[in-house]
Order: sequence, then C-alpha cells, then structure tokens
Amino acid sequence: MNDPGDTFCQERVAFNGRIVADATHEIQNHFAVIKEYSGLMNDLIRAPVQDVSDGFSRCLDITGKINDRASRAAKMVDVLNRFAHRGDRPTGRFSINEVVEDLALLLQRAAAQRRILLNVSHGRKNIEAENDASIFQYLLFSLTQPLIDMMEENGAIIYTISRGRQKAPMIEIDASGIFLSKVSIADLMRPELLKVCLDRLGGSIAEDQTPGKRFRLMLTISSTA
Amino acid sequence: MTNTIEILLVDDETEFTETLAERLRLRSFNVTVASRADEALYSMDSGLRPDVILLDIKMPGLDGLDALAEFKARDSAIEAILLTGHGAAASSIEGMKRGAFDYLMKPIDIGELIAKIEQAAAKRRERQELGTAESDK
Repeated sequence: MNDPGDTFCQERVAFNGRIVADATHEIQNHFAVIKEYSGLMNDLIRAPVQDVSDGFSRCLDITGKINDRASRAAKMVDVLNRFAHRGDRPTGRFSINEVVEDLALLLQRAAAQRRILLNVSHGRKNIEAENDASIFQYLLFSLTQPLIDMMEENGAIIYTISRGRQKAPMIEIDASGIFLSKVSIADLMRPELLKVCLDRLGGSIAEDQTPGKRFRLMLTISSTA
Repeated sequence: MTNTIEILLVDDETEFTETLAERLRLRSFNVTVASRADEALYSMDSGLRPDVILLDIKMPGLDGLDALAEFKARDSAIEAILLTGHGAAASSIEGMKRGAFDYLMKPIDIGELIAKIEQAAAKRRERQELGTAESDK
C-alpha cells in the first residue's frame, strides 16, 4: 500500500498537471480564434472592394474581438502564473477571494465541457488568511472537479466566501442540478488525503444535501496557520 | 476555380467556427457549422451530405472521436479531419485508427487546411466512384 504522504505528493503533482493542461488548452483556443480573425481581416483587405465603409466597419469589429480574446488570454496567463507561485512558500498571507476566483477561472473549461455554470459569490470585503494557499487551492480543486463530473448538464456550482466562527474564512461550495449518482464527501476525495489537507489548513468541512438535487460543502480554514 | 466541396464544421468554440467558416466561404466552399456533435448528426439525419467534416475532438456532450463513428455509420464514404489542441496527439492518433482522414493542430494554417480538405474530398470521390462501379458490375 502506498504511504499517504507519497499519495498526497502524487495527487498534487497530478493536480498541477491537470490545471496547466486545461489552462494552456484554453490559452491556445484564444490564439486559434485570434489567428482566424487576423486571417479573416487579411482576406477582407485582399478581397475585391465593394463598399469601403463596410470594410472599415467590419475590420473595426474584428479588431475589437481580437482585443477581447488577447485580454482573455493574458488574464488566463496571469491566473496561471499566480497559481504556480502559490507554492513558493509553505505559508503566507493570501486573499481567499483571489484564490477562489482564480480556481473558478481555471476550472471554467472543465465546467463548460459539461455545461455547468461555475461562479463565485462574495461581498465587497476581501477575506484574507495566513495559511498554505497551495494546499487550499488543491483542496478546493479536489472537491470541485469530481462534483463537475458527477453532475448532469445545466447544473450550477457556486462558491460563496464569508467568515464563520471566530471570523475563520468559510467557503461554501453549493452544487445544484441533477446528480448522476449519490454524492458524499468520500466520493469526492479520499478521506486520508482530505485529512492531510484539513490538518495542514487547520480546517474542517461539513456537508448538507437534498438527495439528487443539491449538495453543499462548508469548508472552514484557520485564519492563521 | 469554383469549389463545390460541402464541409460540415463542428466545434464548440463558436467564434472559431464562424470565422473559419467565413474564410472557407470566401474561398467558395459550402460550409455548414454546428457547435455540438449531436447538432451535426441531426443535420445529417435531416439530409445534409457533407463531403468533409472538420471535427473538434474535445466538445461538450458527444466528443469528436465518438461522433466520428456516428458520422461514418450515416455515410461510410465521409471523410473527417480532426481539429485538436496541442497535447492531444494521442487522441488524434486514436481518431486516425477509427477512420479519420487526417488531423490538424490548432491554431490552423488555412493553406494547409484547404490542401487537406481537397485531398479528403478527392478520396471521398474515389470511394464513391469505386462504390458505383462495384454496384454496376
């Protein structure tokens, strides 16, 4: 049997690989669209002139779309960069809001493939913690990714960030829709790995569900490691 | 040159399909687009008979590889060119084993794509002519 520590390391390496693979795929999709837009502009410029004003208007429209795609690709690169750097230090002060929002963006592709809406809901207040951001993002991913796979199309997963007891950061993962099978925390993540994460984060987790329709997780982590 | 090649372009990235379709139409190809494999299969069930299918591998619902078998079941002479992201070489090779004509990595070079479309359409014509000749014997 594998040592839980080894399994934990292997799972985290696999997690990093999965995130990088999905993010780079998404970035490449943006480049593919940008290339088609620039090719189309080239085609239109070379095509026999019918109405110059129409041509200008079309090109302006296309440059706007290229700009939008380039911005989205750049944002994904930023998020991926922050994701990679969260492992630089074992603990440090970080924004819970930022980690959750970044992870939601990194999981958008997986969610979109199954037509699942993935959103973050939080107040205007930024909630911070002095903890291990790298483990925190790994735990959130490990709880969310299987949920996406266990839901039928057109479901929704909403992260809500708030403060729980003693002002500890609390993240609710609220999945609603139709589930392909019964869900429990143990179906999402191996208990020994969950325990390692919660121990390192000084955290706890609780679940609540309406069978087949809604499944909620309430994850609390310590404000200070 | 007038092209009468009928293309069915299937990809869930709608900005990509709409733009690529326009570029192919500017080159006189007939292009129908679908954002999902089941939508493309419905078009075929409604009478569309494309010469070549341009098929994204990773899509919501039925993925490109499973869809390929469904397209072939409806028209065994149909040729498919798979469109893939990087790192999906294994899926592309699997697609070739399942009868795809070829595959291209995104971002696509339009010249290379057109060359492959024309080769695929020529192969389809050969197969159709061979099929007609066999049935005439």
